[in-house]
Amino acid sequence: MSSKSGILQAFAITIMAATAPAAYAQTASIKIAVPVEPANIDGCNTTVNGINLIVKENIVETLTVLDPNDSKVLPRLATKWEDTGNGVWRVTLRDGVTFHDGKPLNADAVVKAVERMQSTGVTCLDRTKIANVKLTAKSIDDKTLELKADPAQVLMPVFLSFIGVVGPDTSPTQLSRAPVGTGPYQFVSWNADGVQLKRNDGYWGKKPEVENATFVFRGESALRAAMVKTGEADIAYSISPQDADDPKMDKAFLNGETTRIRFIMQPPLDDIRIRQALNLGFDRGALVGTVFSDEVVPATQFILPKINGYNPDLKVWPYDPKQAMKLVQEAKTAGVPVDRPIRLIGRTNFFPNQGEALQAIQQMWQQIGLNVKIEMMESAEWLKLVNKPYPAERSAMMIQEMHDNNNGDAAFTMYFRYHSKGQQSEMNNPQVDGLIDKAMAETGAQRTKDFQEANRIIATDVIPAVPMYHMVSQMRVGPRVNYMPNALSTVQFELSDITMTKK
Amino acid sequence: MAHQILSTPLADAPMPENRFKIILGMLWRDKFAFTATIILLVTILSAILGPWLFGDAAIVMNLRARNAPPFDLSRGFAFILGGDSLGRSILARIALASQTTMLIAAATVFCSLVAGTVLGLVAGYRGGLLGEAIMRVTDIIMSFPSLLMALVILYVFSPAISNVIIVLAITRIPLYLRTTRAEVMEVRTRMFVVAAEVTGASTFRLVFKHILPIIAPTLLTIMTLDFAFVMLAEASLSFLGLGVQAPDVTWGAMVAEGRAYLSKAWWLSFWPGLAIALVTMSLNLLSNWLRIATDPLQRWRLEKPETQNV
Amino acid sequence: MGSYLSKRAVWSGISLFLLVVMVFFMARLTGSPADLYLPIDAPNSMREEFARLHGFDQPVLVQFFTFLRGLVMLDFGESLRQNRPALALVLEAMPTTLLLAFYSIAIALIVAVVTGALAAWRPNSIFDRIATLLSLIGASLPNFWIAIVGVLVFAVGLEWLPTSGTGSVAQWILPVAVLAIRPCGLIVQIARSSMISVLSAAYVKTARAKGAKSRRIIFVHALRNAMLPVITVAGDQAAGIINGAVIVETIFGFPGIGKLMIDSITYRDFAVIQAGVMVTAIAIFMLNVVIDIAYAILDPRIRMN
Repeated sequence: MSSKSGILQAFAITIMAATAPAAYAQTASIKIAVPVEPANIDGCNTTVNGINLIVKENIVETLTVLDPNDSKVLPRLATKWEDTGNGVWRVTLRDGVTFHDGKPLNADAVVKAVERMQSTGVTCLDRTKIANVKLTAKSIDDKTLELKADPAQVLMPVFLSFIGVVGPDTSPTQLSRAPVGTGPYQFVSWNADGVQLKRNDGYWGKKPEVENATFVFRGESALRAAMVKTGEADIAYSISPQDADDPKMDKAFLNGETTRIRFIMQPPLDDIRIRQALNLGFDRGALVGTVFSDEVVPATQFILPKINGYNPDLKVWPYDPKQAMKLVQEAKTAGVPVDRPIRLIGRTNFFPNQGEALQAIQQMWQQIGLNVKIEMMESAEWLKLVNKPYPAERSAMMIQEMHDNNNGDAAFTMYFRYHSKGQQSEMNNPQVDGLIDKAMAETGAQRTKDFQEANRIIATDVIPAVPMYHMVSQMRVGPRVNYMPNALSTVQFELSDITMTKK
Repeated sequence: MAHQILSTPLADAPMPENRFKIILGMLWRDKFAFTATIILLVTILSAILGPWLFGDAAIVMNLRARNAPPFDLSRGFAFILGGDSLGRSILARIALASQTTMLIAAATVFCSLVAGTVLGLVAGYRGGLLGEAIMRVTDIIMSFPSLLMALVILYVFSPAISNVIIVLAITRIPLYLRTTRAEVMEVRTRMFVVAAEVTGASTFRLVFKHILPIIAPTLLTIMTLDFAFVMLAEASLSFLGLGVQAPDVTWGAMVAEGRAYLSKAWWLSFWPGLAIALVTMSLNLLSNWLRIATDPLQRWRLEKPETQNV
Repeated sequence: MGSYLSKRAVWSGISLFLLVVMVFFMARLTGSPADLYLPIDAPNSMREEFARLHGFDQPVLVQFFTFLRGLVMLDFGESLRQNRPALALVLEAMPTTLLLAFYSIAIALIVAVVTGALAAWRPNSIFDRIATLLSLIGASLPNFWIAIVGVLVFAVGLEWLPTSGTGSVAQWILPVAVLAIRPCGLIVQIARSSMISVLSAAYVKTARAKGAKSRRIIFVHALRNAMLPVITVAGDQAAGIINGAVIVETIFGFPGIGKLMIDSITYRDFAVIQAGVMVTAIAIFMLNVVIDIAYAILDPRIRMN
């Protein structure tokens, strides 16, 4: 077996050597297979899936980072931050940091990066995270700056983790495909062979082990898995459960994504009994370990337990088809049009095996006596349905959704989804509105408590959705490297965390 | 193709009274064609009887039988080909899918054949400005890769069965059209057609009596192959997520769904793939036989029992 | 010939123009790129700003005239996704696909014509039966299926070939093979049936009976006559190879036009779709001209008028 894998490895290296002679001459070169080629790898898109894997904290660093386990804010390029009142925060920068092009990291550079991110001349997507806030940066001295948020933000330290500090010479009108930052890796090239990075030997922090990293883009899960198996790649992202058949290499981790099925509350979905019945009639346990990985966790709300504002007292809906049928019957007697078709809308290429999951769920709901029809939509069409302004005439629909809140606080979910003014909200509940408004301005235990209360009301009194699962990602890690994925690995993949296996 | 000059008048020779028996005999003599007929009959029967035969086995999921391996009778005969990723009987699903598959393939091939042949006849026979216009529209269709065109159209309209048929039919028209036109232009110059033209035969009669029979064999071959093409194009659309949508199912969609399990449960995509291949092959063998059987110069191969034809 | 070509060019120009117009409006019917480019939690103000920045807030007709103005200068605009000129992206991707298509079709054509002709020489012989069977199997397998099975068998199982990538010769073998299988299967069928027709003609039969020497002459002669439908189908397959390329390039990570086009359709990158359609259309038009010329050479009765 060992001689076989030796030959295999030699073979793989020969192939790779032909592709990228420079990158694979040494052993500390790795290849990562990811599903989608990003549009750009700009440092002001560090919150965008696919871009962040490559650029965030590898090439371009942010002012702060979040701890993957408890979402605590940790220093990165900023070493200190304090609230000086009136929405103004004073941020102190790390000493002795230079950009890959040799320019020093100073307050001016950060001011420039903040301005670029907010400019309308270039579509920086990190801006969506601070959408309704105006940030003004002012340099105080070489290593100190003031950031003013309007309106004032209690979550400023988290906001700092959205601010990628790109080199001062980055184009103010174009999204970059060759970013310059301060990170431990430096951009080399982007061509048919993928995106190549090399170690930045002038890095301020600890010197990472991996010298060269190449990201390649392969759409099929089976192929990515095969690449690691044959030694062509060292790490493969998003392996579907059926391809993750090697316990030695495959690692499952909660990826921060939560799925649910949202109700458009038109008859019969405007009746709470029907919404309860749909929750009771969904056997969440049946899909675990079959259609989905056995590590997915049935959800009670749209955020993960590690997020501030998660309500731990909520219980997962039990599977009780009898009760569900009873509720449907009751509603029918009360004149609710339960026979009316309900569209169950899925989006193509959301997560592995979703087609099967939807078919299974549809069948469970057929069995409790509801007329559910699946419709698959491609993303653009799907997006038209989920965002306000909604069309005047809407039919009863259930829309499959997936949401990631990796930012530590419920605020990034609650307003948007549950406040009556939220852009994707189906709710109009004054009590919830009040709690969300209140919590957003608070800090500490009271903030947590108010968000938790809002989540309780939403989950038990309003029921705007069928919560599904906290999803997992499967990553395949080959024998040449050591890497243990964490809760943030799908959005922040630090090459510095990878070590080479000792021979 | 000079023989067809001779063959055309003969093609109308009266057949003996017991035609059916003779055709059957001719079929029996070509064992491949015979097998092919049986396969096609079974397919048609399963399309009609499948739902009745298997009841809900094609629809009701049973996660305990998820990816159940084939040739295991412990779950009953319905699971002889194994279970799919939701534990439904693959055999039953193939039977159920044969309906939609046949509907899409037949409707698409028929539409594109009729439209393509008619337009091709016009373009080839009349020529002129109209012919040129037809050819240029064909160029437009051909110059936009059909799969991408189908995607764009299905993005605009929803991927319903009827839309899938229309989209696929449009993309297949040029093949028939160009083939017909090329053959017509060639046939036109032949002696008997020229003669008929000179003697004042009507265009309609000329086309249907003299030209169509000659180009029919080629069209038939293309048609049978196109049947497979449509099933596959439909599978490609499913692969890209825009084919037939659940709960409707086709063989192509089954292959596309099953491909995710190829390393673990090959039977999910193998059996529907085999069904596509078998039907394609049968149609092709049958069309070969048909061509021989309708060709007076070759018919002897099937008529005399002592002839070795394998 | 010269007048034929110039006339053809004029007609082609008209159809190209119609095609581009059609694609322009079709693409815009498929939805707004603003929804796709911005994250799902982007506020509407940002969507509007994005639309403004890229001119999608203008009425479609105004957008169309802007587009036409650019078209005259061969400027298709900038890719939304990559912020680079659309035409440059397309021209960069073109050679990969052209090579892929050329190898596939050339291999398919050579293998298929030889196999088909030999099979037709003695219809229903063992060789014919096997050739027919194999070609039919080849023609009835979906290419994504062949691709994945190919990877599992040749890369994972046998470890003969790399799974994907574009750098080395070995990496081209699987994609080219996957692309060639279907056209090859089809052309075998067409070549065979067309050859049978020709060979069963009375004059050929007499000649065949005469002996080996004339048999070879006849074979070559008949082959020439039988090529007409083969050329039609081969041309159709060559034009259709982009379809296969879409799938093959996506699976194997080839930076070709198929992958570029499907990505730009998915992301509503209109400028790239338009440039891509234009360039592929020109390539296919040229292919068709070649086919027509091939017709004329093979069959002098078809005059170019």
